[in-house]
Amino acid sequence: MATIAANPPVRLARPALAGVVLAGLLALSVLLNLRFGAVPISTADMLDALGLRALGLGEGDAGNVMVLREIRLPRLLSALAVGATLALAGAALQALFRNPLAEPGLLGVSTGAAMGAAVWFVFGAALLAPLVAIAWLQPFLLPGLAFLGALLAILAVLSLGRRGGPGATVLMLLVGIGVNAIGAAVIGLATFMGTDTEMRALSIWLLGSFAQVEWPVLGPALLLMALAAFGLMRTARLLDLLALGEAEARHLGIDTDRLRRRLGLLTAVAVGAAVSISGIIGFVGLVVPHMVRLAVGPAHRALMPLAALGGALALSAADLVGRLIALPAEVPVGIVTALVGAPLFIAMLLKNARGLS
Amino acid sequence: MRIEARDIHVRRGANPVLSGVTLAFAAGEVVALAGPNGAGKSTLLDTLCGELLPSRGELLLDGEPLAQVSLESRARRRAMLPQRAGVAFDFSVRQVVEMGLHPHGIAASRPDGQRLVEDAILDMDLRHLAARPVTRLSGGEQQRAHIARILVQARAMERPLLLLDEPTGGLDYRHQFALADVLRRAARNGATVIVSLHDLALAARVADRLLLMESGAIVGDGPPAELLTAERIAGLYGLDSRSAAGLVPQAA
Repeated sequence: MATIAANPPVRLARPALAGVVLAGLLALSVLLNLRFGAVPISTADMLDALGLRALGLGEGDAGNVMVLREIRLPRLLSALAVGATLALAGAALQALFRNPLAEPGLLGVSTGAAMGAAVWFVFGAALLAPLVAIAWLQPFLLPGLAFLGALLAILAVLSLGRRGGPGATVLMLLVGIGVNAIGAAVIGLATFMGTDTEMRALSIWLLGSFAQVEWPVLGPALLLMALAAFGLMRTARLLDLLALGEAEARHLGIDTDRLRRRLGLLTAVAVGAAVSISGIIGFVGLVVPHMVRLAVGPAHRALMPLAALGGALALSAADLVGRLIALPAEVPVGIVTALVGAPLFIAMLLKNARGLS
Repeated sequence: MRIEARDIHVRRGANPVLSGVTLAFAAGEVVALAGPNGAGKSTLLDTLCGELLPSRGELLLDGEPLAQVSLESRARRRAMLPQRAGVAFDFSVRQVVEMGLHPHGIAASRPDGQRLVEDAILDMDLRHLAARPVTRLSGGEQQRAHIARILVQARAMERPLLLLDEPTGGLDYRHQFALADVLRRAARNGATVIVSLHDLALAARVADRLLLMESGAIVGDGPPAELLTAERIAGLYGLDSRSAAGLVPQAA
């Protein structure tokens, strides 16, 4: 019985420790993101902008407060939310495919969402005129179309790329390539048919960037991301059982068809909302859950919240790097995550290939 | 009767795999399934656990049509070990064994949950491996982890129904015998155990009742000592009589 008493604290301690470390780093990243950028900003400005004037050294510079409230704060919030959401979506897809290489970007789900968004940018006003006229609905149309695009992509990969056995990884990634190609073709068509301004906006956004985020667009997307994140976290317990295989999960009482539909829907909402404000940001959903799994193991009740924290940290840090590295210009965050994530993806692929041979 | 099949026919794709099987299983018995490859043993177990639907016939769990029993309720009334279970990601042996608690809503941290998990880990001789990732273990060790998971799921039931498809695959003799003892003990406590086995000596050791299958039909049903004659085994597996005689347990 001694081992019984000795084991649980060990299991609890690691995720808790990882949570504290991640939360600390996240707080640091938040402060650095607010403080540093193209415009120099003092601590007083920062506290003033956050409504904490009493704590600061007095009133901040009105212009700087404006920069913080209207540019840096919404941008930071987007990076945190999109990072957390993409990491959760990645973890959910990995559980669903029983494969650590499943990721919204690689499977074409992000491109599907971008396809929906591109259709909205170029054809939205014409296609959806009656809906655009409804004031409260209008801010939801972009994330809504992105959701539809993501859902189409998820349906495609789920129906084609989910076979088990040897070669499962290859099939999944190949289907992802196919879905990505279809999405890219539709995006290309939209770009081709759009005006020059639309083309420029689309191309920056396709690289993955928070440069164009503003409060009015952010609200509905944040709401959808929060709902999806909550829904995904609630499946954590069931995701563990999927690791045994779908038949085994059914033997343990899980309605795997329903769970698959639920995960597909939540992931589409998550990725659709994320992509609608940031464009395509790859590899966060791959790298973050992978790192968390290495640190605390694969149990999803710890993995999911820690992946959300880690995703928020990773993307806010990546955006900070992208904003500062080439001042006064900035590097789109999607390029930063790809430069870090793609080599790791290749390393994981090689490890996977060795495991198969 | 715990579980009953009345004239069931099952197809896999276009091929009929079971044709006209009628069987009933009572509480407290260990039933071994034996027969050549492709005889339909796995199909019968998959059907009894509800994973495959019969195209004809009736399947009753405690007198209730199995198709109408929800997945949750099935998982609280029968535990199934499929052939070759695998695990994605580096779940530890203990985590995998704890998954057997899920259908019963028992938290692994609860004292009764801990006891079930610890007992199964001990029974399957996994104590020294409990913290190791299942994926890094040998085939036999992985199999023991899955058996322990099934034991946890079954032991949390009032009257367990255990279905095991080739549970001895990869197990050495010591662990085969340990499993046989565990299954005998379960039956003594009122469980119904249906297990497919290739080793006829082990079947004779563990089972009260032996079912011989051939081409999707039951061709023998009775105590192992009566069924296991060299003549019958030679016919069933297409062996010459000398080889068959070597396979029949001495007691028979």
